[in-house]
Amino acid sequence: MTAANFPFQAQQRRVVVTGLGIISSLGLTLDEFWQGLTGGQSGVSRLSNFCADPLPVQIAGEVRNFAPERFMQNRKSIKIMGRHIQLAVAAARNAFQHSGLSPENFQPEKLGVSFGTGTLNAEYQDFKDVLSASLNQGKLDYHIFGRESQQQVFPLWLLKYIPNMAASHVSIMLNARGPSNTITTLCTSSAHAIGEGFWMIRNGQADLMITGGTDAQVTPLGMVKFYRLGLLAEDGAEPSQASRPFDQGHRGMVMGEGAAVLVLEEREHALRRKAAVYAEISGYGAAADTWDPMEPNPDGPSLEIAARHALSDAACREKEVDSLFLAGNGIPFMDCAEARAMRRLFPGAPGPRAAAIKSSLGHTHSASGALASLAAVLSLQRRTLPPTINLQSPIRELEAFRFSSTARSLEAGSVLVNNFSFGGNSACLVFRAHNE
Amino acid sequence: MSGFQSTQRIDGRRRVVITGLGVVSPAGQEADAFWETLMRGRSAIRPITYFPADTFPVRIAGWIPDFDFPESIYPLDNRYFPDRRTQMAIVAADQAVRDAGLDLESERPDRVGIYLGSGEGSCIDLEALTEIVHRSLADGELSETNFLKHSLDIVAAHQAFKSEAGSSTMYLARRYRTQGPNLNCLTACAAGSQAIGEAFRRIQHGVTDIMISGGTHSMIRPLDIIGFSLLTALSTRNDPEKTSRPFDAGRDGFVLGEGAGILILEELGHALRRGAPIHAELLGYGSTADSYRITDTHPEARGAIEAMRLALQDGNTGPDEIDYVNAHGTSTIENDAMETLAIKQVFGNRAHRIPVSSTKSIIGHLIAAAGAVELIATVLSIRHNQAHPTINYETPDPFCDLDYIPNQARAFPIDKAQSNSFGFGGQNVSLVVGRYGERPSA
Repeated sequence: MTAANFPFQAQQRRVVVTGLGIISSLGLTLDEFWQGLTGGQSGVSRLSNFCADPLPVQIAGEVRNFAPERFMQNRKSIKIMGRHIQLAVAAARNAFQHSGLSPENFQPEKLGVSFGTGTLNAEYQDFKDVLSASLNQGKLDYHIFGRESQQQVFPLWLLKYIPNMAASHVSIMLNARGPSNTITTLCTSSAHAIGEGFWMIRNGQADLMITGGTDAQVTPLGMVKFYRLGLLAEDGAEPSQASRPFDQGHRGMVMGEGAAVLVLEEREHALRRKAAVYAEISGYGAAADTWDPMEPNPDGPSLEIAARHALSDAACREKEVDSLFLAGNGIPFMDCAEARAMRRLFPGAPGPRAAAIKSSLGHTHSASGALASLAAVLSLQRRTLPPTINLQSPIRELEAFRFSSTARSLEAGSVLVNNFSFGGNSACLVFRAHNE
Repeated sequence: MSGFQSTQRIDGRRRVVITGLGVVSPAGQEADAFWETLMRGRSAIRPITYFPADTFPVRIAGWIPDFDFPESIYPLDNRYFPDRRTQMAIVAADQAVRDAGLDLESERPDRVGIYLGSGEGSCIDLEALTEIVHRSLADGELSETNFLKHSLDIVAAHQAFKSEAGSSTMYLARRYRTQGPNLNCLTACAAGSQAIGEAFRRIQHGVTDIMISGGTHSMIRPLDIIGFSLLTALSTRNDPEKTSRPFDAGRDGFVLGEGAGILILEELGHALRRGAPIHAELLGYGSTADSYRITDTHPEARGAIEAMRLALQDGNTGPDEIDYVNAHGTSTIENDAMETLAIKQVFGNRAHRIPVSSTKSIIGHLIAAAGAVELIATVLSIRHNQAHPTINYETPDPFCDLDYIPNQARAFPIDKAQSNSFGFGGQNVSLVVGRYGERPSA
């Protein structure tokens, strides 16, 4: 795409990242997460949050030791938050603190929220009493259900799951009265949300955006759903080795959960308040797949389009991309489609340096774009590219790409972050090291 | 462009026009039929009959008993046969594409995008869940272990996947072979308007030339009715024709509806070059958060006022230029009083002279689709210089003292209009739309 396609951006503003917060299977703080990720650890282990005995797959990247009351001022509100909302509010609180923002140095009308979330994660616990009571000869009796549900369902049940509630709780917590959006596009949700937030600042609708995403589907129904779709890697002897994106031994994804939040800020606004700047967000591109509602075109054209648009948006040439954060989730048809798209984008040898962090975290679905973006920002700030674990021999398409099983140093270039959803929807983001 | 038409606004952004309309609603399943029902002011709310609802607190809805999805699009036995909400989005989008005279095959696919505010399909199938509970109990107890064991046999995973909030947009991309940005936002009752506002930005800023945008929603199901009803948002009056009564003193909650509204948004130059029908120009969009409470709107309508003002500023439109307001008007006590306050704050003394009406009085609350279907009503108001009434308006409420076009449609000049959508959690969206003229009004 040429610059002429973006006439309005002649007056565009630059946007930087000034705060990060994460709640992940590798830890509940930035440092724990980063040490685990760069140390080649895996957040995947045997399920502990519920008893999964009947399930053929009993591993996941669970968030452990998360105590929501440590993060919430208003403890009563915890009751009306599904787990994904609790994770998001905690990550947002950490990111806001990390940004050094305080009520004196921002205008509430210019602080917005843009989050990516998942679906209504209703769980059977919410209805087991009423459904047990509504059985009549083994079938649901609507007459009983209609009556009993008014007594036996938690009155604020719906609030625990409505997708925009994470953004709403965060806007209340931080006094964010600017634009508020919640994107629900499966695995691309939070990448879209970050890109949308970035453009809102660049185009002048906000000075600050709390962006990111959250997901918590490591639940009985969540696990069953993905298992039945045939997308989960079977348990091996060692849970930490099950998630193996781009490895010839990839057999599926591993469920993960978590939340990550980035504070995006107009650059001058950040410099004026002498904020620490961790990286610049410079490009965003999104594209659709026309192949199949649930599977991407095997050649991954949507990802190539999204990546090219994001690079063009960032005025960044392919050869200026220092490293790639791949979407790779270990599902063979997804990994191969992404690999082909990237091969067309980076045909030369040697290919770019690459990392697939779902190897350590599993697939956090609508949070995954935020987790990858946060990792990309930390990579640029700390000049370290995290490893890809469990990658013994890459699939043919990516043989020329430079993966590493240990952390490596990273140049001060640009980083491309890919996000690729089951239906082939794609969103790419470009971050670059911030120079004064 | 040559000639008088300027395709850019004074601020350098590109102008965006609406060239196609598609609607599936309780009041009609295409734009003209929808408009006629609205103008007649006849309620489209009906008793729920497709499941035994007689012990439910709510037994009426704006549902569409005769909605029919052509098997020529997806045969019933296709594994991708879409759920009801996606079916409605497809039917409405087909109408909009046809109305716009678009030949999508001749467009560059990555310059055409989709942005919906789609609700969800059935997050969980109640009968399937009951079957799991039944089998677990037959096994001795409803333990987590038993539940998991039986859910493995019963959960219809493809069904669950197809009902994800983000899947409707993927069906549309596949149907129209679009490769541009493909997004879905779900900001509760503001989603449809928000999607249109965000789609508008994409064209304004040059990312795409055409956006297929709007909302779709179908949640008139036992569990969802219970969920909304427990939040005390729904009226339990259960008199089909009389329950939805926005701004009336006797209002006591909203009525759920279902449907889809899809609009084709197009860059003005692109529309002119291909000689497209131009229904109206989209002028301004504002989005804010109340940042107040999860379940209550701000008592001084802080976020709503700001969203309305932002939309006017964004459209370079003065408050004195607005001829008609299509209100969010849900028929809840809080919303209608709050919205009245917001309108008075934004328009000052003129507020009492601006006709305001609520589409929800006739079709109920289409949640994520509401804003899109209501924007279509607003566009049609501009086209016809007529506005539909707020029906069931019988007893004035001192807190709602504007001209709500009570019970009878009205003809008056409408060049510019504003449409509001406010959602749970304090989401506020407002859109400004105007009659298309050659000179940029913004």
